[in-house]
Amino acid sequence: MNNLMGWLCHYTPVEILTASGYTPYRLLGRKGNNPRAASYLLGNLCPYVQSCLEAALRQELPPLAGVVITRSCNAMIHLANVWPRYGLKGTTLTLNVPRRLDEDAVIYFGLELRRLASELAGTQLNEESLWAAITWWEKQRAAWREVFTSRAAVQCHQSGREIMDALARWQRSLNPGEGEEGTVIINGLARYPCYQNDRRPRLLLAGSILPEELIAMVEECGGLSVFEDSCNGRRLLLAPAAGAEKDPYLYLARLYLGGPPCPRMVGEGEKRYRYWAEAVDRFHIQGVIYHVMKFCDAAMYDFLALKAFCEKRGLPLLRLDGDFSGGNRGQWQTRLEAFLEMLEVQ
Amino acid sequence: MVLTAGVDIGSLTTKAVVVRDGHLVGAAVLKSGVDSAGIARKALQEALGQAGFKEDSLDGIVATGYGRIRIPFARRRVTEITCHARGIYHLWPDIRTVIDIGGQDSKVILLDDDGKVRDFVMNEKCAAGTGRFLEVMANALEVPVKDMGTLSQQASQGASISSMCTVFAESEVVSLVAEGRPVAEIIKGLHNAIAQRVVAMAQRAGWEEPVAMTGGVAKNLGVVQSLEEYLGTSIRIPPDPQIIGALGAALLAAG
Repeated sequence: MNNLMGWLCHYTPVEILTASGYTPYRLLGRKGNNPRAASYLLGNLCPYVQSCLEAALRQELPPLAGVVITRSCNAMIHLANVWPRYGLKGTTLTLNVPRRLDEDAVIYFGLELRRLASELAGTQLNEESLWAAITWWEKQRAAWREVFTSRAAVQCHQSGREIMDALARWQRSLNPGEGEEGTVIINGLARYPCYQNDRRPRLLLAGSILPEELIAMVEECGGLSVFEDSCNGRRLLLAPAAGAEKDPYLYLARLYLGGPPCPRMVGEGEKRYRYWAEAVDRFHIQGVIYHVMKFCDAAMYDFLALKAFCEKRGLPLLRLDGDFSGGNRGQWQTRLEAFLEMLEVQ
Repeated sequence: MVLTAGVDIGSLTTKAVVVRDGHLVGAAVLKSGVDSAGIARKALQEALGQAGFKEDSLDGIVATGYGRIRIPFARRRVTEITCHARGIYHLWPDIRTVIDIGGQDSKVILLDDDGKVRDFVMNEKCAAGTGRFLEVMANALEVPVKDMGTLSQQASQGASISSMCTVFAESEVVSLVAEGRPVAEIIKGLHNAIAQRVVAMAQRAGWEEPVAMTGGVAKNLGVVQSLEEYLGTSIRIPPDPQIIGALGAALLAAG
């Protein structure tokens, strides 16, 4: 049986996929334009979502048993509508994700997760195996958090590019039954040489999903990414949910809804402000770069909140617009270099 | 004596400036082309010829502009944002905002009291509000781009140009011509459209007075007047606004 199960949004509970016997495989999009996806999705939708559909239409994805698509933003809802018809053969499962965190939302999301689990497993999922998967993923995330914590030190750390490369590999084909691949990836990072006396400006990179080439380019231009506030970065590293929850679905609901704040959540402005403030203080951030994904409304609002935060803290902020095509290098280069020149002078 | 040069390779023109002990002694402006390095070398030789020096007597060369990475003889590369700021600070240390409209970029640069870049905003990924936008429109109107400023002075009011997308604005201009609107009014309308776009960027950046303008488009009196109108302040224009980036580069080459 082919057991790779695709997922996109970081609100997808990979624990349920693991407990159901699938290997979670994150769809991270593709470079280039998306002419085939344009036949089914409007051009003014999230380019990441479009590129995932394009990858499927071009048969660039490994054989998947199915895909879990969260109805977490407008573009994802559109994708959930067209994927079963045009995407790939296999199951398409959808998941509604609340936009706020309160007890009603937790109960609702818990029910959604229970439904997803029964659809995935085809029967009632064994709670013991779900708790085992939760424990396994928490160990993985704890190891990652340790790696991230080491980046707070001024003298010794991996580059942002190395971290994000490893995180991308970690999000694909990860399963406790397959040689502890995740642990191998995380431990592999420890072997990277330390950057002693690194004088590069320390940067916080933020955005909905950060393109790999942006992080690479920031560091080629002379900056150092030490904190990636994105759904393919820090937001993956959910800390264990507080409280002794006996129901694994409610536990997962609290874990995911209460994780590092995503701009799609409503009424979490203060939490997000505290999150940035802690990152800036702890990671000695000297400048912030925000990648605005074209047509992502949540990112646009998030940018304005971050701008207000940076102005209050006196932190230089650079906004870069991107369309996830890999073709933004020329436009970004001058802006990045000028921003880094400005930071050096300051 | 310290002799340095700055070369600014823009999308439309390549500029070279030679500076001796902080004073401009030679400058050249050539059309850019496919062979960036060759044209940059030629511009440098012209500027050096004006100054009466040879390349081997230079103490430093800084390249700037979008083609800066393709200049093998440059000893350092600095972005045009930093260079325009340095160039303007050299001329007028009291300037706090620089508007630079070049061939493919428009920028608003904020300076601190020491002439250092405090913040900047650049146009988004399209030609709206740039020299290229004006070139395309000049082509559609069949007038030389250098005459647009003077022509716009003949109009008492500008035609309304709704779209800032270069492609859509071009078809809008063609429609206005077909309707029989005077060319001067259309050009004035285009200048207003550029000015509105740039002023929106300036407001985003949090501009402050006094304001200066650099780049080739600063030679267009019509755009400058529209900008002054929308900003509500006067704008200082250097004697040769096109070479300010290269001047800043030459000054930065001196350390």
